Amino acid sequence: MTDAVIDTTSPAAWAIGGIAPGRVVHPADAAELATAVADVAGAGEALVPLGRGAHRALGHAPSRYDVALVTDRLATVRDYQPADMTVTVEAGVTLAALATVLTREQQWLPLDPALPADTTIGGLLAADLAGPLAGSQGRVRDFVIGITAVTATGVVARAGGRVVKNVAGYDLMKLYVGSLGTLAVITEATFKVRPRPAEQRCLVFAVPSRATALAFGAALLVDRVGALSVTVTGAMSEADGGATVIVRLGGVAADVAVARTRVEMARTRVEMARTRVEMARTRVEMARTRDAMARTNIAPSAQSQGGDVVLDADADDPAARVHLDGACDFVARAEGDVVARLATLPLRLPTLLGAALAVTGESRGVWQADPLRGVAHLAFATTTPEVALAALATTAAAHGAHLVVERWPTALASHVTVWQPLPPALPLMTRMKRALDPAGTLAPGRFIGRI
Amino acid sequence: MWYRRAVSTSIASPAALTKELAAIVGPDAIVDARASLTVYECDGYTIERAVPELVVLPRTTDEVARVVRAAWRAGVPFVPRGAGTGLSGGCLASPAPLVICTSRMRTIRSIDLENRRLIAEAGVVNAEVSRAVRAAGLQYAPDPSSQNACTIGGNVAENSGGPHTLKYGVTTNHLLGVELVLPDGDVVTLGGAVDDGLGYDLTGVVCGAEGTMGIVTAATLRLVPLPEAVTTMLAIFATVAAATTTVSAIIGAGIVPAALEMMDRTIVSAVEAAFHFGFPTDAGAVLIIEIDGDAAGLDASATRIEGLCREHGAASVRRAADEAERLALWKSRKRAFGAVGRLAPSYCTQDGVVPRTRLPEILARIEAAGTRHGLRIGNVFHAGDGNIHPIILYDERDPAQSARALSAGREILLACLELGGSVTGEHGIGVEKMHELGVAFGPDDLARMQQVRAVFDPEQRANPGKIFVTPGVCIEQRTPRRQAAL
Repeated sequence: MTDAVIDTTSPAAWAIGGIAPGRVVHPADAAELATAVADVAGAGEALVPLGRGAHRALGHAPSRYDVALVTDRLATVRDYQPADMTVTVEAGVTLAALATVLTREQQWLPLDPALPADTTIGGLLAADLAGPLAGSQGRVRDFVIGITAVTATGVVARAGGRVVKNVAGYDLMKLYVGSLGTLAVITEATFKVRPRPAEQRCLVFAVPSRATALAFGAALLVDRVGALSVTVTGAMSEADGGATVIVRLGGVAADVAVARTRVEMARTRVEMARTRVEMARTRVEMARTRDAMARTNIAPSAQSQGGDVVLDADADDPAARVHLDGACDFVARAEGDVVARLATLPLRLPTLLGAALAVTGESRGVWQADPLRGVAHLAFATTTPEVALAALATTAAAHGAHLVVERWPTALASHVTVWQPLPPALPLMTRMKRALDPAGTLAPGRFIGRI
Repeated sequence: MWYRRAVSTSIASPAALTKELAAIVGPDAIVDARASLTVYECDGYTIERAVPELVVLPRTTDEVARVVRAAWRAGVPFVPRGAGTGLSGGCLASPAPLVICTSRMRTIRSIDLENRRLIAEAGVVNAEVSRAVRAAGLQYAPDPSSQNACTIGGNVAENSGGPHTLKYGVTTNHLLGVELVLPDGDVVTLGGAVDDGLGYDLTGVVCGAEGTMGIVTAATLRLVPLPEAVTTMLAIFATVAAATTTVSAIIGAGIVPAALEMMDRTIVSAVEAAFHFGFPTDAGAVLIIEIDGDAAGLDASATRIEGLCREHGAASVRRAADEAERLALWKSRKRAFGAVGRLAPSYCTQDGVVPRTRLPEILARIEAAGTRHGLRIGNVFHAGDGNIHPIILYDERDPAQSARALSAGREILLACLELGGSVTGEHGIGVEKMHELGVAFGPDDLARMQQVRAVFDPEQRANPGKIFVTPGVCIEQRTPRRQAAL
């Protein structure tokens, strides 16, 4: 018998896709967690590993769900070596808590998914969560350098290590990242971290045309502005209804010893980048105007179509935070019973998004695009979700894009295909699942192809 | 010459298999003459050698698949090989007797400059990728020292690094997908150009698996913009300790240089004798520090680094005056291993990693190991990553010295583990470090890795006898031997 807190009173709070577990287990440490997994496996039951459950809507509902295995008590930052720029944390530590620790040393883990206060390290890894910073900084896979996980039979197994460069043994970090708890239960991970940019600036533009806004976003990539993130967002409509462009810039790291000079330098650098953003925007606007003039054969009007700067502030400014946090939390905050993610090559995004908005034109909702990564989200309410999702799948397929359905009406559950298209390596992935979890103990049915 | 002669399983009916493979790839793509096969007896790790029975050089993925399928049916395990520049014996033809060499697959299949993607076949040389996109202001970031010879296929197998990985990351960070021929000859596509994967990240698993999951025939690579400006600095220190402390100070100041490389006195002398760059040969250590990025912020960072170097005792710091001087500096660094040939009849390069703050300790341990074994050891390494490359000088004609060189190398690796590091940062496990891997990881960790390997290769046909010690197969043969015709 372990000391793990076993909760049988509130399983409904951990329901996934309307299915509640029989009980909820909160192990106190990794050893207890391993025992809990072994117990579940021994009893022929199935478990779903969870952190705080903030992102548990991702993926299919489990085909069996006896135990919610919650890692919230594994909440220790085990080893932080600022000079080595590495940090080892337990799975239940939240991103917000980790950020607090790293900020003290002017460092950060530049991953910014939604709801950092309720997102655990385990959840970040298992769900491969990404935010607006991913386009410039990379994704979870690029930062995790070591992992400890419990196998389907309750054995603790490590891979990687605590150094930034390491090719000893297989890179199982990659295997577990994004596997949604179907291969192992992550208990601890080591990350490489980075110096926090000394100064960050947030620029927000209101652009009257969606097409211009997306072209502006693409120009920021092509012109190598070096933005930390670019987010374009707007309301769904078949017509081109305009958009907001949020640009986050970061300056070179400052240092206390040369504080004044370096802060001034950083300011200058950010200002220069801002000027370049401005120039790129002007260029796009000029091209657009030329096109329009050529098409309609009229003289340009005096009114700017390129959009107005509605904010130019330090990234910590409350007004800036509204925009930046809004971009991170887009999916979490969006209303509507359908959320879809589309991914393609960056410069194909405007066309793909245009097509997606055209086929979902009847719906009410919002969209957000990341021009640096080629990823867009649509969140909307519709009376015909099945039709809308089928149309999106067709559109994605026609554009060689990926479609991930992140939210759907519960009634549709058994019909929804979360990840499309199914990759050619699906048989190999199925073999992987069967080899590592033959009894289907770990989150059965949750992942791609319901494996 | 001292080396270990490794044992190979033999092909049951060599003539039949040769004939079958020749029908697939053509007779000009088959190597079966004894003299020519010797070329393939080892890679850059020369302490163990095994002459393969047969080498095939397919030109297309389809040919690779058909060759692998034929080998599968014949029950013959194979070794994938690129340019043979590996440094841990990863493509040693033992116990597998058949080498499938992808060096003739040299086509860059597609370049998408706008979206910064490139698909290269396995035999494309690393440096060719960057050359193909340089005019568009792009580059392929991983730049191993052997980049003018090593192939993309080998880079993927080894998850290769290079001096600039400190800022840009290693191969896996720039690899979006692979085309993989599984050990039964099936061709599978993993990942792809879109940076938002579907399903398990098997691309990430195959990268660095040293050919034990199949043969990678093509890779989808991410390209990155060339930096707007680059500043390269050379700092001279009286002692190795002062240089390593400076490394920590630079990183601690929140600066991530593109590269931060160190050479100690032994290496500097050899490099100077070979390339006449103008290094002071009495210096205890030199640091090559490269920063890149937007021109605007670069000068301030360089000034800050120069200040830190002086604060920590640099005798001099100077910036490379022009591109020619910068290239000469890098040439010296990247060819340091070759220059070492002047110092001793033989040398072996080790590859270990420590947390970068432990560099002073590991360098002291390396020096102690050298003293203990009566061997000279030079150091040239990626200081920013804590990735050490001690070069142990010895004379392979002297068996006792050879044995001491091996012991010293082992001790250094174990010291890396003690200090919280790893037994390999970029060279791989291969055959060289199978035992050390067993020290770095426990039986449960290794069993898990074997489980994953079995998903791709249940019969252990792809590069068997590498990475993991196979129970019952003991090629441990610690007696020196002269090379003998089989």
